[in-house]
Amino acid sequence: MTGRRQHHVIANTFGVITLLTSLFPLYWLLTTSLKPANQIRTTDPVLFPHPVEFANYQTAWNTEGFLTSLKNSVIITALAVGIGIGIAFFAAVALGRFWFRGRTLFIVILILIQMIPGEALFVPYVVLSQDLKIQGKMVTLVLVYISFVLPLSIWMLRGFVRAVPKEIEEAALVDGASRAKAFRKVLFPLIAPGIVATSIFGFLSSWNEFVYAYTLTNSPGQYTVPVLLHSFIGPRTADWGAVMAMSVVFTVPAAAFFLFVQRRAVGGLTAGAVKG
Amino acid sequence: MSTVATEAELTAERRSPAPRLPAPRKRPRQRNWLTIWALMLPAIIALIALIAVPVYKMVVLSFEKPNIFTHKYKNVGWANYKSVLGDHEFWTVVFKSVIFDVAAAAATVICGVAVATAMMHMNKALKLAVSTGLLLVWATPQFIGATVWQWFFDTEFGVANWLALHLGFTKEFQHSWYTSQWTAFFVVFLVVVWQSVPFVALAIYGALLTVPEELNEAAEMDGAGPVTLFRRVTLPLIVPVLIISTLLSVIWDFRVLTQIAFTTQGAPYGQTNLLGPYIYQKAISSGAYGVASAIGVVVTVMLMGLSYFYVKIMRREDQ
Repeated sequence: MTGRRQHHVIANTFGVITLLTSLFPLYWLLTTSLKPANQIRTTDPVLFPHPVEFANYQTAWNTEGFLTSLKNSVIITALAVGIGIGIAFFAAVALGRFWFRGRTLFIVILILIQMIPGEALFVPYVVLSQDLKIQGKMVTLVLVYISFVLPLSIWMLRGFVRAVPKEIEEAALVDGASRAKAFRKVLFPLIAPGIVATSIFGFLSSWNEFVYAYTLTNSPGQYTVPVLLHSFIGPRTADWGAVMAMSVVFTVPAAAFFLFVQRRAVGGLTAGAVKG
Repeated sequence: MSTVATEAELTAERRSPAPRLPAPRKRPRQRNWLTIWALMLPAIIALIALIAVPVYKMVVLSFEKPNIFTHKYKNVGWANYKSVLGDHEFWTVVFKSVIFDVAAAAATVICGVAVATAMMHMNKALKLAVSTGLLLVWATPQFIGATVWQWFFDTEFGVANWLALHLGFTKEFQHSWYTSQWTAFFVVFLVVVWQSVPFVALAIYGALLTVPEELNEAAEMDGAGPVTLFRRVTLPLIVPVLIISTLLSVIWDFRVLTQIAFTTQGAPYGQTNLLGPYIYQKAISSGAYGVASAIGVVVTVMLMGLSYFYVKIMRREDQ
């Protein structure tokens, strides 16, 4: 029994250390955004903001370009995730429910796609978007992000489709439902939570993306939030408080969404992977 | 089997619900091909347009060079590849990238397994707090995490220097982390590992939860210590997830352009530029699309080597 208790002590200590290391940077982010300007860059770090101030958020809100870039981020992410997940859902049903020639090949291709380093592809994306005269337009980023969202979503959704026993659908078919109706009324509601869970990864990869957004946008009106923030961050950063406030505003939706769907999301990521 | 026969079979099945024996496995029904195509077509078109075409364009570009005067691209054969593969700097960057990748992935997996194992033995409230913390880190944009860490290691106002001074590790007042390649890499390393551990930890934790408690108890009854227990009982059961998360870590930790752009920015003297920033500079800053594409092709081919193992594992798991 003492062995077990010892386990718990070690595990708990380790847990506290993990908690501190993971959360301290986020704590710093949050508290900095709440500090008055004279407590931000100090030789002795200020651990607790006193007094707590929301002035930085006011500055952030009034920062030129912030609302525009926020709007851009929202529209681009929504379109990329919506279209990407929609396409992925259909493909996942086909891959999870039917046997057909080329199915395995398709799955192998999905895996290979994951191996292509994103950094390698931005050259052709830049050149192609110039050729097509869509450089700097929102649609370019939407297309790029769909290409991020799609492979992983097909992959994960296929796991969720396969987790629904075939018999349930077959029962609906036996009861006289058409194939389409069986999908819509039986399969879809059962996978719906999986779709939400899958979309979080698409959401994170689009919402948080920096490199392509930086490369493929030309003027402040087209910036997404990461690009806008990058233009503020550097050795000459004047107002760290406002930058941190903008970062917090930008991180909160992602974090909230993620916490909300976490259980299925994390399981689905590996289930899709392990179940092949 | 013809369409008609299948149809007849279905109706027959529908009329006689009595025999509950599992029907002999039918061959795939031909009628389905239309459904399958309809479902697959959007994905196929999207993948071709958004991935196959750019990859093809990358390969084409890698054989081309723009004319200095007309800016028209023309085929130059293997010239770009020769200049890339013959470039000493390229190999230095590759070498650094591989070492960094292996180190970061190894650290990530070790920390991930340790955190997951610890989570199994923690008290409930702490476990909830730790998993929430991990999820928050995961959801935090890479560039924001990198910015905060970069700031921790700031020469004048960094928390790291302050801590080191006050805990008595050093007497140096304002250590500059970005003037030596080693300490600069250390900062990037911390950022990358900090951001990558949550996925591995939570994936492994999920796998650990599926290990039946009876197995552990039986092994303990037979006198297995914690180390033996882990090696002989737990490990074999979580191996698939462990391998997948290791491979994904290797792939993800290879892509560290964002983290470098927001921390060292290559300092000192571009020495911390790994492959991502290196390609970026070639392409965007110098406009050498051909050379950058050639590097892209070489790197892709190298990473494809890894996928060989990945595909093999997948297919084994699939059976």
